[in-house]
Amino acid sequence: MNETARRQFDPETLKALAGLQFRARYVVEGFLSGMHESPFHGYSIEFNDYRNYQPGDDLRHLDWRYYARADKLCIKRYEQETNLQFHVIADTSRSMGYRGTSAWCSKIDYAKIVAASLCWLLLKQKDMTGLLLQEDDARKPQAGEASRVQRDPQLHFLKPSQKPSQFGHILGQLETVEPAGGPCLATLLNNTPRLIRRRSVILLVSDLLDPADEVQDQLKQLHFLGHEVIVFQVLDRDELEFPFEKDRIFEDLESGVRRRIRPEQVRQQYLERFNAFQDTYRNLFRALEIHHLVLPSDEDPGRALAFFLSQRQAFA
Amino acid sequence: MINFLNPWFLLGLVAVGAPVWLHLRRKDREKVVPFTGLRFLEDQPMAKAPPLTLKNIVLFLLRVLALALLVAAFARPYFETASMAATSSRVFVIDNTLSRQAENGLEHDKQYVLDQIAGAGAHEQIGVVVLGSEPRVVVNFGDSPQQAREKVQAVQPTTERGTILSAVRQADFLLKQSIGETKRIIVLSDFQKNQWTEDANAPPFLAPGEVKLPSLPIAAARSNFYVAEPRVQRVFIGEGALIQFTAVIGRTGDINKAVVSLTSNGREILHRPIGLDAKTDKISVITQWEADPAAWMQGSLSVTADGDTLPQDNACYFTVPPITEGRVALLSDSVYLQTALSGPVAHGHWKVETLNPTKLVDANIASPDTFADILMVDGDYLQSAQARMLVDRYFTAGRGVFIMAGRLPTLLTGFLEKLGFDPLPQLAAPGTGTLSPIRYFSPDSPVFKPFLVPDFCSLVDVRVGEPVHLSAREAKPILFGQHGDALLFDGTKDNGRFLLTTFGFDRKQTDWVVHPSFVPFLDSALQYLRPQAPLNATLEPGEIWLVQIPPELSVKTVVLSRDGQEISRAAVNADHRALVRVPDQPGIYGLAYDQAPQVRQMLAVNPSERESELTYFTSEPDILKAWTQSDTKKPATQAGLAIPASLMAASNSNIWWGLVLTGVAALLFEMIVLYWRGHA
Repeated sequence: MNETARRQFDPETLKALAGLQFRARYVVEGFLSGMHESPFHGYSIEFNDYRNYQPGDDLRHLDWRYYARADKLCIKRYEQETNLQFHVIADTSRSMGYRGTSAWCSKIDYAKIVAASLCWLLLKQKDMTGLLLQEDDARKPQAGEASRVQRDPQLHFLKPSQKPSQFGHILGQLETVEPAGGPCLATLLNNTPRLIRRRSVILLVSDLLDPADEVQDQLKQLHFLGHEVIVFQVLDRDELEFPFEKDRIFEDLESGVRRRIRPEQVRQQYLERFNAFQDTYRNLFRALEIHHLVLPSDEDPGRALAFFLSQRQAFA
Repeated sequence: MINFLNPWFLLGLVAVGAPVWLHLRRKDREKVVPFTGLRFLEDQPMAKAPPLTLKNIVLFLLRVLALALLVAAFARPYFETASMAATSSRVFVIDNTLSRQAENGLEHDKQYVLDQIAGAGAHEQIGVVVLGSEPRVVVNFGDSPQQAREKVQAVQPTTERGTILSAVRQADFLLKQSIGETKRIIVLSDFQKNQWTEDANAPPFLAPGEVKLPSLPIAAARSNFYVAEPRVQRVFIGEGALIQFTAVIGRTGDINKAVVSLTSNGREILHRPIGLDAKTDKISVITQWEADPAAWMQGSLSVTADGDTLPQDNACYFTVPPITEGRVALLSDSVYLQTALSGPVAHGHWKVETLNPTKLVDANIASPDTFADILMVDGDYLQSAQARMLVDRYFTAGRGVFIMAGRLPTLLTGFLEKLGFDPLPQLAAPGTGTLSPIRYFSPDSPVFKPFLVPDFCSLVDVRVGEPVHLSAREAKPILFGQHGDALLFDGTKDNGRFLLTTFGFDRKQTDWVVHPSFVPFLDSALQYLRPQAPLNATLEPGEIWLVQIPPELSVKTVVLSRDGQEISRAAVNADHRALVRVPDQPGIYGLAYDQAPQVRQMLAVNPSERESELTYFTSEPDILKAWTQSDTKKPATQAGLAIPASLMAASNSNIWWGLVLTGVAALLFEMIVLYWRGHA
C-alpha cells in the first residue's frame, strides 16, 4: 500500500461525505493521487488500446484503419487484452451490519465503499463492470433498470457494462441494500456460474463468516470455470482482536443466540479459533488460486484498490 | 395520626408491583452486545434472563408515586384529631308537615333541637332530617354547631305530605354513617295517627332502642275545622250554565261552630254559619251558581272557627275551565238524537254535522284534522264497512265515539268483538218487552257525576227496554238496568275513548229520549268523550303535574305563575308533555305557554286532607315496634355505605383533590420523560 495514500486516509472526512458516490470517488482519487505514476500505464484505461506490431502477432487484430492513417502497424490490444468482465459480488448478510466499538462505520458500509470504489475504478478504465447482490425483500425496483436488470427471486444481478451510466446503477443498488438475513455467501456463489457465463474477474466483498466447507464447492466451481476471484474480506477490529473486557451477554447478529461471555477468559480461545477459521479459508484460497485480502473496517479502503491493481497485473 | 376511611383501598398498592415488574423485566440492552463471532464461542453458557436490576429510576419512581397517590386518594386519608372521637350520635327527625303546625308545634320542635345543639359537647354528633314529600337531611354530622343552628332555624313548615317512616329511614341511614358509641333517632312529631300508620308492612330496620320519642301529645285530638274533597263542574240546565260545587267540611276535636265562605271569580257565593253536633264530624256543602261558560272560573271555599288549632287547612281552591263548542258527527236515524243535538237545543255546546250514509267514502278520504270531536253512530250503520272504517279512523285520530248498539246484527257482532265485547245469550229480542227503570249508575263516572246532585236531574224514572246482552273484556259498565244488565259501557280503543249503549235511542227501546235528563246526559257524555286534554288540575303540594300540551301548538316551555308572579318553568318534551312540580303554597296557579301571558291551564293546589285529621297517638305507636328488629344484632349496613359522614367531611376534599392531581401530574411527567427519551 502506498504510504502517501495511507497518510491521506481520514475516516472522519470519509464519514462526512454524503453519498456513496462521493465516498467512492474520494477513495479512488485519493488513492490515485498518491500514486507516482499511473498504475494504468499500459492498460486500456487511457484507452491506449494499441501496441506496436510484433512479428508473429495475429494479423486479424491489426488495426488497418490506423495503418491507413498513420502508416503504422498496430495491434488492437484493448479488444484483445481488455475484454474482461468484472463482477463485484457483495455479501449483504446480517453479519455485515456489525459495527465494532472502535469502527467509524459498519462492515456493510465499508464493503459498499470498497465495492463502489472498485466499480468506479473499473469503469474509469472502461472495463465492463457488473454487480451481484443478495436481494433485500423490501427493496423496490428503480426507474430505468427494468431492461437491464435480470430479476432473480433471491439475487439482484446488474449485468456488466462500461457505460458511464453503469456507475449510477451500481450506486443505486449499493446504497439501498441493507444487511439482512443469514449467511448468503453460498447462495451468491451458487448462482454465480449461472449468471456469469463468460470468464470474468469476480471481486467478492464479504466477511467470510460463513463456514468454509459451505462455500468451497462453489469456489472450486468458479475456479474450474476459469473465473478469477479476488476476495476482499471485510472484518471489524472487534472480530479480529476480541477487545472486550467486561462480562456481557453477547448476542449473535444472525442467529440471535445469546451467550454469557467473560472476555478475559475466552479471548485466547476465541482468537485461536478465529485464526484457525481464517486459516481454513486461506488454505482454500491458496488451493484455488484465489486472491485474498483482509480489510479491517477501520483502515483505508484504498488498500483494496491497491491490492486489486496488483492482482490485475497478474492476470492482465 | 393518619387514618383512612377506606383502608381496603390500600390493597390497590399491590398495583405498585406493576411498574416494579415492568422495570425488572426490561432487558438491559446496554449489557447485551451484538457480535458476529459467537460461532467461535459455542461452548460458552447460554445467557439466562438478564440480571434483574432497576433501571430508569426516575420513570420507576414516577410511576410508583402516581399509583401510590391515586390509591391513597381513594383510601380517603384523614388526620385524626381529638374531635374525631364521638361519644354519641343523634339524628333529630323534625315533622314540619301541615299537621305539626297546629299550636306552633314546629316552632317548639325547632327550639328543642336548637337547645340540644347548644348543649351538645364536642364529642357529640348531631344530624337533622325534616319531612316533606321526601325526607331531607338538613344538618349533617360534619356541620359545625353554628351551621347546624342556622340550618335548623331556616326550616320552614310545608304543606307537602310526608310519612314518618321515610324520615326515620333517612335518619337511620344517616346514623349508620356516624361514629358515635351510642346512636339515637329522636322523632319530633305530633304523632298524627295516619302519618305513622302508613307503610305498615315495612320490614324491621331499626336497632333496638334506636328511636326515642321525647314527648307525646296529651290529647288524643286537637280542635280543627278543615275543608276537603272539593268537586266542581259545569252543568247546563235548560238554557242556564251553572257551576255545580260540592265539598266536605270536617271537624276534629270539640269545636262545633264555624262560618263557611264560598267565592267564585272574586264574587261571594256563600257566606253562612254552620254548626255540627257532637256526633257529626263531616258535612257536605253542595251549591250551584251561574257562571259564564266561556270564561275560567276559579274559587275557594273557606271555613273559619274560633279555637281552630290549624287554620292553615281551612280553605280549598278549585278551578273550572271554560266550555268551548264541540263538534259532533252524527250517523243515526234517531229523530230524538237529532233533536237533542239540534241547533236550538245544543247551541253553544255542540255543533252537529249529520253524515250522509251514502257518502261515507268521502268521510273516510278526509284528513283526520277535519274530523269532529265525537262520532255518534247507530249500531245498524256499522254493518257498512265504510262506517266501520270511519269508526276505526276516529279511534286512531284520538277522537271519541258514541255507539248505540240497539240491535246485534251479525256484522255488528264481529265489530263489537274487535272492540272487546262478547255477545251473551239473549232471553228476548232487544227492544222488545216492557220498559224497566234503570237501577244503578256509577257515581265515579264523569258522565254521571252531575246526577249526584238531585237538583241537576234525576234518572230515577228513566226506563229502558230489553237491551243487547254483552260482556266486556276491558270496557267498564257504568249504567245498569233493572235486572243487572249493563246498559252503558265506558272504554278505550287505540287513542280514542268510546261509550257504548246496549239500547237504541228510540221510543221502542227507551223513554229516556223524551226524559228531561236526556239532553243533560248527552251533554255530559259527549263532554266526557271530547279528546282535548283537561285544562285544569287539582294536586297536592310536592306532587308532579303532568301537563299535556295540544300537539298542534309548538310549545317549548310552560310557565307557572301566581298573581302575575312567575313561580317556575319547565321544558316541554317531544311528547308534548311537561313535568311541573306543584308549589308548596296552596292556592290557584296559572300555566302559560312560552312567553305568551295568556293563562292556558290552571292548577288548584290543596294540601292533603289527611294532614287535617288531627288525631294522635297518646302512647308509643305500635308501628314503631314493627320497624324495630327484635334481636340485638347490629342492623346490617347498607351495601357500600360504610363511611362515616363526619369523617367524610374530615377527609376534606382538598386532600383528595391534592392527591389525585399530584398523581395525575406524576403520570403526565412520566409520559413527558418517556417521550423525551424516545425522541432523544
